[in-house]
Amino acid sequence: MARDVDPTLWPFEAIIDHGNGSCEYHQHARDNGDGTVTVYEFDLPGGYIERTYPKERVKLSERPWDKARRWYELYNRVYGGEDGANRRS
Amino acid sequence: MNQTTDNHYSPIFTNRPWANNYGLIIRLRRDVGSRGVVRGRTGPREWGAERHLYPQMLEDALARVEDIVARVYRKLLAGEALAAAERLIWSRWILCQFSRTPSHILELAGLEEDVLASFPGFAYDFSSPEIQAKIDAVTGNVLDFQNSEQLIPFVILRDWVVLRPAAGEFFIKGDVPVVIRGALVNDDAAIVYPLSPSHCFVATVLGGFPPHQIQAEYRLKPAEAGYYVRLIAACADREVICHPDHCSEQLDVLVGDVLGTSSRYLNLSRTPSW
Repeated sequence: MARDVDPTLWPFEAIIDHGNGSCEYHQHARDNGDGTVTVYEFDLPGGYIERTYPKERVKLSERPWDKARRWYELYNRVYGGEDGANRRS
Repeated sequence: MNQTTDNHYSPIFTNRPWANNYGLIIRLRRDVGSRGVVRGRTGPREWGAERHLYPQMLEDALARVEDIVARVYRKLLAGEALAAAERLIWSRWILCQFSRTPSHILELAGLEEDVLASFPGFAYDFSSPEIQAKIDAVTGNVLDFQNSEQLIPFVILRDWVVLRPAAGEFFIKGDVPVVIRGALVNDDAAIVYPLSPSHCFVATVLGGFPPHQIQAEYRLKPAEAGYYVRLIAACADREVICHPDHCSEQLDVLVGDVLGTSSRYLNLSRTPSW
């Protein structure tokens, strides 16, 4: 059964390079600040588990839909509302 | 009502800066079976058009938009600051110009076929009427695309820089006039639109997110314009144009190995390159 994941605790998506030509994508990851990255993944039979990897094997990035939300928020601040409507006309 | 047979995906007013006083523009293309590039002569009215590319209704709508955009185009060439409303017009124009080329229309119409073809063993024959219906659907969306509020923020909010080449250098223009490389949501996505041999519009994010909607001009260092020349050539579908004064064997060599090699608009895979 799916469990809600708090995206604020896991602000990144991650791609882990296994070094053998394969890589693994995770939608929820965090930078631990000590040279490691932890990903939150679904694992049977126990459900969700955390795995930690050395940071040099992980490519971390902001999830594109989170980044898109920041673009839209900025757009609403600059061009939204009555002021924005005046600017756009 | 006039029926337009030659529909310009690159409007005449945007082609004129590449013409000399006699209305001559040089085109560089790679013909099937030939090595290197082949030069030809063209002009602002001839180039950047295809017969019956758009329905007349779309052609008329685009003509109305172009009258407004031409004024903004001239302001950018003159180095004048754009008002907020003009930034919006220009952002819509960038998206419009991106979406109205024959190669974009054909690629979008063929997207379903491309996706299906990526599954081994899965075959589906598209009949001729189906293909035409898909092309009609895409051309019908050109105006919607430029009006899409979903895409406007990624263009209008970026920092806008008009690049000027170093002395003796220049830009070229491709049959894919607006080049967008990378996902628009990412800071490092590049929107590149050559305006004239001495002006190239770039929308970018300076110094990280959030961008500050700066409008500026920047003089490139010697040899830096070559990067944009090759990028534009690589992203062209079939050909590029240059001002007759800039036509040389050196340019042939500069674009020869990349012309039309990276013209795909849509990347079906999200797998990153390491």
